[in-house]
Amino acid sequence: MLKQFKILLEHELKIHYRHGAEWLTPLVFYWLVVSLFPFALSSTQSILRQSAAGIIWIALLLSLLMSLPRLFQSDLKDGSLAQYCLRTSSLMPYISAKLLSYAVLYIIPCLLLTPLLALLFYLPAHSIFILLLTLCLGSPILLLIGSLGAALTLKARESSALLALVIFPLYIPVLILALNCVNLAEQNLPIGALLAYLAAYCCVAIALIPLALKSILKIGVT
Amino acid sequence: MQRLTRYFLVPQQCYRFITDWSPWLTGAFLLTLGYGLIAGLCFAPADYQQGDGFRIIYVHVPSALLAMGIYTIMTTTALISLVFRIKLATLVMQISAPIGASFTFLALITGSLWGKPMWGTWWIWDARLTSVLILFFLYLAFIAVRAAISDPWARDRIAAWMAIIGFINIPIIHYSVLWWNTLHQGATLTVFNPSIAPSMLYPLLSMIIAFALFYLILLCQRLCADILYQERKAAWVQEILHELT
Amino acid sequence: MNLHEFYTMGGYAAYVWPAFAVVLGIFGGQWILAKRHRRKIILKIKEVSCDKIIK
Repeated sequence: MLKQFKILLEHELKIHYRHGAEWLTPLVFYWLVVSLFPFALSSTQSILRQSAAGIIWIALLLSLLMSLPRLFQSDLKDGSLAQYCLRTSSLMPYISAKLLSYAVLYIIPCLLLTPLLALLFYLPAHSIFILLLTLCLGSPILLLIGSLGAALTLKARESSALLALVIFPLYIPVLILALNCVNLAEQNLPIGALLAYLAAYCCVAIALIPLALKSILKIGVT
Repeated sequence: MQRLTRYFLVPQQCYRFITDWSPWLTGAFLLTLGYGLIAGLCFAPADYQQGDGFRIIYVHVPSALLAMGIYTIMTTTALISLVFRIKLATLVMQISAPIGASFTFLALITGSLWGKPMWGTWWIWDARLTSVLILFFLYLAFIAVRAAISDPWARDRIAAWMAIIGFINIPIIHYSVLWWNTLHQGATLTVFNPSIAPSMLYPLLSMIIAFALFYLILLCQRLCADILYQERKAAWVQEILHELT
Repeated sequence: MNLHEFYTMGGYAAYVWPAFAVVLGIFGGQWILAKRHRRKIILKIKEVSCDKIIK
């Protein structure tokens, strides 16, 4: 199983490597959305600092929405998804390789860029650290719920608008937890309980969502 | 028990059962609705705090209850259709979605019509209101996904999964919003008095029953039509069609 | 309770009556939609069975 996972992961990364700079598009999109907000709100330091965390989270959601529809689409089109489903062994190596490669290519670059963007919004170092912490705990949940949405809308027409409709309501708890964490930290209040909730949510999502994903992908193929 | 299962598994029996009982349903609906409206609007005393404005309760609470109740029914039938592959459960699930969405819409509209005179705004980001709004989005997502998939087999399975995933998330969303809200603005106005006078309560109960009956009536109407379409090649359907013309 | 009080709803008429009107409107709309759905399906089935007879 582990060997299969390694092979699949290598395969995925190789495909993305050959596609060249495709991974850059969501990253640049993320950057652009974030830098649009000062124009829309105001360039006043206090306003920007207050809304920085929210803006960064929303921009991350939108950039995920850009790239998520492609998650299983190409595999469905060239038939390899059907092959993986037909094989008697578990679908889990495929799912985990897919998700991990996606995280490496699309989410981690965004996370690496975040401290720089936060500086543009005059966030203090402590808040940036907390923001990054919540992003690290929250983005696996975003990815897992997003992949669930991608699997659900796999056979649908015009799937990207539909994907937003499916996953955004489910993102609300993560947004609430993460952003309140940042707000509390700015007021020097304890945030341990919130981080624990977020981590617990993350663990439950990692444990349960792949199971649902497996069944839904099988429906999508047959 | 055996008779009951026969009613729900054999389409013809199910059709007969529904058509036999639907006049009674309609009668009971009109009766409870009439009593609820007349007693609620004319005879129930005005509330000592909210005056006559409280009368919106007679449409608001039933639609909010039904909005949640129908989602529960959808999830139950989704589970049944995934596990036992009963066609009838799938039909009930798919028919319930637009009806539930319209009840949720009603709960939102009547809620904001109630909120304007009582709180002074059409909308506050109160935990309950926000949860109902998200419930409305869940209904819409369910309907949109169903509409966008053309293969009927996959559509029913995917829709069932969507209902279940939404149902699991409802309490998570509700508690997170509740928690978020208490952090921001403290306790909101409590609208409901803990004790409610019988002359106010009976019309409310009657309206709740009327709303539930209306859901059942709509469900039966559409179920009948869909059963006929599903069994369109069977002899008994042809007979019924001859009777109708 | 006289008729005038009933109409004005103690000053809340602008909120109470629209609420009830929206509910009754949506109920009526759902009812009509359900009826139309039934009619459409019966017509559809008839078309299918007519086709069979012609063939």
